[in-house]
Amino acid sequence: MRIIKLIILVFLTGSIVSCSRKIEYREGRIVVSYWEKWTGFEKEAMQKVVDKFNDSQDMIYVDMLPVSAIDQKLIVATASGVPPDLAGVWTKTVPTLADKGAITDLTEFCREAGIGQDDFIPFIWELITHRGRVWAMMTTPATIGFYWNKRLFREAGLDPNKPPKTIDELDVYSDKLTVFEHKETGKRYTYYELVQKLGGQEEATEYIKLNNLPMIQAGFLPSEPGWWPWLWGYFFGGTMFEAPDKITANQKENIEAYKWIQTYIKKYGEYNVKKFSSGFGSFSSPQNAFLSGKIAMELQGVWLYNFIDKYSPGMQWGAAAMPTKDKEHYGMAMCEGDVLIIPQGAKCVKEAFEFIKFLTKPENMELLCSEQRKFSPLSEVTPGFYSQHKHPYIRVFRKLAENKYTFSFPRTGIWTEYNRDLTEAYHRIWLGGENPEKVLNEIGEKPQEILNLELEILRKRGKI
Amino acid sequence: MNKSERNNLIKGLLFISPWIIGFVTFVLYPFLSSIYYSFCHFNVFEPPQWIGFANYINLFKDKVFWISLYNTFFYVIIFIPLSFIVSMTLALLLNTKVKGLSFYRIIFYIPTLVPMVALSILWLWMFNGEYGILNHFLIKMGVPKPPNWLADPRYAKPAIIIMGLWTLGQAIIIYLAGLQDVPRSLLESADIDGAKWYHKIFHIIMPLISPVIFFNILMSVIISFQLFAQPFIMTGGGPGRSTTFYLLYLYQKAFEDFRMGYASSMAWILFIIILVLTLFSIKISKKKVYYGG
Repeated sequence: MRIIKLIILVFLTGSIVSCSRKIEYREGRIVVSYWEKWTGFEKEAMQKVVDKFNDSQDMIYVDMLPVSAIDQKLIVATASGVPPDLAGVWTKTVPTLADKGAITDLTEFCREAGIGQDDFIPFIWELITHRGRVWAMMTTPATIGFYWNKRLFREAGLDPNKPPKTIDELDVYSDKLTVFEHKETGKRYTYYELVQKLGGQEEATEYIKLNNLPMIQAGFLPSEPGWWPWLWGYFFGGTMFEAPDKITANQKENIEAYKWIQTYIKKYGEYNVKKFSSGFGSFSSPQNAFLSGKIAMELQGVWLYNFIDKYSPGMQWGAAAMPTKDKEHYGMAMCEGDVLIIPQGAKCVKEAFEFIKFLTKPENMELLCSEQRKFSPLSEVTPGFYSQHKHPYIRVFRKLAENKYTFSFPRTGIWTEYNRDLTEAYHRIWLGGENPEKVLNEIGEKPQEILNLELEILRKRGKI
Repeated sequence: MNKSERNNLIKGLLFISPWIIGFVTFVLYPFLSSIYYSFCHFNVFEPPQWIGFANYINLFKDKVFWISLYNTFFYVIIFIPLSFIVSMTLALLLNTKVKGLSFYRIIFYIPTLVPMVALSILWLWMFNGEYGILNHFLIKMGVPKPPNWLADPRYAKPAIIIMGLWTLGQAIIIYLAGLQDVPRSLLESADIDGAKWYHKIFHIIMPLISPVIFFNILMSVIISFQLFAQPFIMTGGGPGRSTTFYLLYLYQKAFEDFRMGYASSMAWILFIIILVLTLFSIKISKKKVYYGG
């Protein structure tokens, strides 16, 4: 029996030793392990900053490792007590990770390093804080703007340098840019022409249905790209969450926005829209609906320029703010970003923060952001930053981040769950044709219950 | 136990120790700890907090839990009989004496060898409403408006079922092995007595291969309840929760929402469902399955 005991002992010792990560040294320097979700040119941009940091001093060495499915791997590593010292995630995960105690509070580190609110664009600072504490550091921010295809505008008789500014204008532009084709005659009609010719939207829709006219070009579709099915209410003056504890999915502005979404599938025809949309290629390909000219106007992030440049360099396009219901809100946008966090249980917290401090110096932040073709999250930039920037509309996207109505995803720890519920609501309204008011009333109940429960736990644990 | 027996026991245990270590670490410990976690609020980052039956009570009040259960039962109830009919029919056809039989057998088995991720991506394109090969044939066959399979809540589940039929190679091979064990003498006697092909199938072949059928169906039931990769890759549970199958919802709760306690209670409910169905099947098998030995 002694042998069996010995085997068990050896196994357990081995497990304990292998499960605890020791501080590593490379040529006398402490190694900071850094997991990053980026690959390709985005990773290369950060690698340049990492190399610059490693060359700048002789105490710390940052070892960056690209990691796929970083959210899940980070959870497993953190829960197992072997997290990396630094990780690159998204702003949307910060409240959840902070509430669950998975990341290190950076407030004191920032204070000691003299990093504060004034150094950043105000809204960007909000994105890295939660419940009054700093939990992450912004690396590359992004705003979501309105893109349009200038060639298609010209073909439709629209001024290519004048994008729509209100939802009503957007609807008219879309009708003028949405094209149907008669299969037998090959004749093409815009939806706008059909409405004019037949005397109304109902008649035009019925004509399309009866003659089985397939859609060959869309002006605007709220379903494309479909990444943020929850945000339309904001452009109508609504919000999906009122901090700290109120789920507001069924606000009247949100209901109005979802009713507006539904008008698109109703007027252009359910079958037509679904069939046409299913033919769109993947985002990162030349078959991307916007890049291939299948859709004339689209809501997309600052990053779209990188894909235009890669897959459709000759394209004539413009970028501005998303049209809003009333003119007062025009200029607003959704703002999110990539951030660095220090997981709870990291071995080299101080050293990891040294890298964060290095990154927040304007010249390093600008190196990263210009290489990734995004704007700097810092309030001040060096004079040549914008004039040398490759993105032709970078100032537009930066301005969107500064707008007083600019918003982000609902900043609550239950966002992943709430987001799934809102996606379901969107599908039921967009694909299922259900009543928006009924759906949003139903959808709001469950996340509110979960949020109440979560807040109760946070209170018991003394976090709020 | 004398010295020699003890030595043999130690050697035996040493030989199987890699398995024992693996089983204890990766199966037994998580299995037992999940019972405890199912009664806790546990987000993996902080210590579990005992909350009694709250997870189970909340689960029964959770609408999405019932949707995922409905979706899973829908899949199991439609897929199991359909897969049995298709795989048995193909096995019977592959058991006949026709030219190029090996070729056909390979053709039907090959999809089983394709990794599920690759297969799911392939089927994403085949189900494409605009360019998909499936709709191309449906239009050729005179269907004017074929469905937008994965983009339509009404057709997304049937699409996943159709895709499941593509990978029946394993079941076909097992049925084929069973069919080849049926004594020729019995079939020849039936021929002499004037039995038709369907008489032979239902009165000779089926009863003789009933243990094989039982095994295949039982395995299908267990695997079908754990459907995950296809909806995870192809639809993410949508559109409108129409493909949120049980295991996918469990995954979302555990690894997206960090609700390990809640997910553990879901896992135990699934375990009980599968256990009850398996015991029920075994009970039925005592009457319906014929073991020659």
